[in-house]
Amino acid sequence: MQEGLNRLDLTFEKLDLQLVIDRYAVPGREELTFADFESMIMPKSPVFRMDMATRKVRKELSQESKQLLKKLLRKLIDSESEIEVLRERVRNHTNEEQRGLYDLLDRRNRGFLTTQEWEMAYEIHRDWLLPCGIKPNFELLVCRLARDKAAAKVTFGHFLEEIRMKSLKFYA
Amino acid sequence: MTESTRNEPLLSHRPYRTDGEWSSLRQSKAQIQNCDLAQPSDGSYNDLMLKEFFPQLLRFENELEEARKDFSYRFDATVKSVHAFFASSTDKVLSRF
Repeated sequence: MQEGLNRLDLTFEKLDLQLVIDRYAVPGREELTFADFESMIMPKSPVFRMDMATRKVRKELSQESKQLLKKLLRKLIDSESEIEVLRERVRNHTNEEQRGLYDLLDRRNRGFLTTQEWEMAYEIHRDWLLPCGIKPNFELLVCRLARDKAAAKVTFGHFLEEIRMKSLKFYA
Repeated sequence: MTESTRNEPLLSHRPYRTDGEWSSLRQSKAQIQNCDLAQPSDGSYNDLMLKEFFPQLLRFENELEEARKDFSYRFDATVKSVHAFFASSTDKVLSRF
């Protein structure tokens, strides 16, 4: 992947790339399969995916497409890096606190979270989402937490995987 | 998306950030670290996560989805060709630093 980034004149820290690989690869692997790669760069929206699938396209990348790809990759890599900063801010908390929050969100005690649980959590406190200028799309959040699985169920393991710092693992 | 939209020159009709804006990661990180919440926090873990962590995570996912949409309907190659750009002819996976 580094070679491809070099060909686009993109340079990133090794840790930043590791964060992206970790986000999109199958857990436990350090490689992106084609399916992982597709999940990384394609929108979740079925409308856009369908449009892409039916479009007549070139096989080679044009200069314009390379520029678009470059911008998207920057966004992907920068985002994961910034999310790691968020994780660092919440790292000094106990397993009990993490479990407590998960159980609080899992109001129906089903052992997993769906978009419904997230909707309920913010139902009364929509204003909590406003400071960051968000139009809430909890499906995207669940999709991320559930590692892009179609089942869209966030287990406690998924939950921990998202909120715990990754860079500690890389340097361990 | 209409056919006419699809056929427009790739870099013509949408405002893009400049390289300088894209590379402002350090500034953005500082903003996160200094984020002032509109709501008073009681300092608890639940409060921190629900008022700050997850809203910020949602924001990133929203922005990423918009970036992917923008990319997907404007680029003129297949995902396969993009993947091939990164992987050598013998590799089926992308990794290695």
